[in-house]
Amino acid sequence: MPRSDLARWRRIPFCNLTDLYGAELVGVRISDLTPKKPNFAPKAQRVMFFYIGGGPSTIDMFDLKPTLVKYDGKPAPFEIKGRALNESQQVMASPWKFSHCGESGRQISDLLPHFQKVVDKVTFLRSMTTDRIDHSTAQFTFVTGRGFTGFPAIGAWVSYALGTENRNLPAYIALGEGATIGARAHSSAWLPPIFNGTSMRADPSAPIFDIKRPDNMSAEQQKRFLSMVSALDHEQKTQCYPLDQDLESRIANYELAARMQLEALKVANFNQESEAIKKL
Amino acid sequence: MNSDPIMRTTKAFTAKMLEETNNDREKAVTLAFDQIYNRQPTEKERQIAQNSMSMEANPQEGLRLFVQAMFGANNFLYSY
Repeated sequence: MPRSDLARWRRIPFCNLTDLYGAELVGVRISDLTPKKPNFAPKAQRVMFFYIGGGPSTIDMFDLKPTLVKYDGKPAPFEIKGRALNESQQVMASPWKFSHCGESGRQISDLLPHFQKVVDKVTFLRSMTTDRIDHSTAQFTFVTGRGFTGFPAIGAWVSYALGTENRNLPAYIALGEGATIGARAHSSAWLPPIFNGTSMRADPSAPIFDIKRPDNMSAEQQKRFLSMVSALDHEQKTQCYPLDQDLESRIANYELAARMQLEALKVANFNQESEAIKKL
Repeated sequence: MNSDPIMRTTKAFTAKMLEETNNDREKAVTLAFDQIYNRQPTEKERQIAQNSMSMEANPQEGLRLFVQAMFGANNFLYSY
């Protein structure tokens, strides 16, 4: 087939049923990140979610297991299947010393001397359980509620439900990568890509790769360049894929990227913060 | 879209397009679409390219900027 014919074939407009049903199911325009009111008035104004995949074990920090202490060095009172190293059935307790701390008397290990002093300001959820025993599946369970890949992360759901008040920054920012499951720890999966977490680095000079304007490009040129990218994308969408949600999301993401170029650098600059914040 | 490799690539690519069309900028735009997107440009896309070239003191730089936009646009980044 001649290249020109192939090119025409590639541009045949089509209607993807999943796009139609997807838009209907989620019930929103995909670029809809406008702030939305939750069903109940929230008491909290801000939430920071730290997902520290690969961090120290809770058993060594603030989740003392009395049964492990009881059977320390002895065979387990039940058969350990699957992940028993060298088929060992021996139990090992945390090697760290735990102390009762604060008015709550919460037992915290000596690994966290500062945490021992502020423990009364912390709420612990001890009711969470999982039947997943491996790292990746456990991480998926934690961030998506399911022990396998392909479902939206909690941040994507929050962005979808609440939107954002700042049009110049992503609704959902992820610092770093998510341990062994990587970017899937902040993926929007089958939610529209506009709810995907945007990776940022804790580096004020380059919080996002290539966010800074190249030295040999003027501000005016960059403005025109971004405008042309947007115009080309809109032309492609109009001509070829008017119903494609992914494409609409990408266009929205590019336009957001253009607005981010200034805002992201400001956000990542800690110079104006107080000493107390810097100490954190 | 802002990295050094894309800046170098677009400069070299633009020079190649102009060389292969004997510095005919309109034909260079058509050739760029053929090489990058494997199709002909629409009328609107030609107009965007023309505007870019007319906005720069050096039209070749305007063409380079347009080529950079082509590489940054969805049409190049994702195959359908």
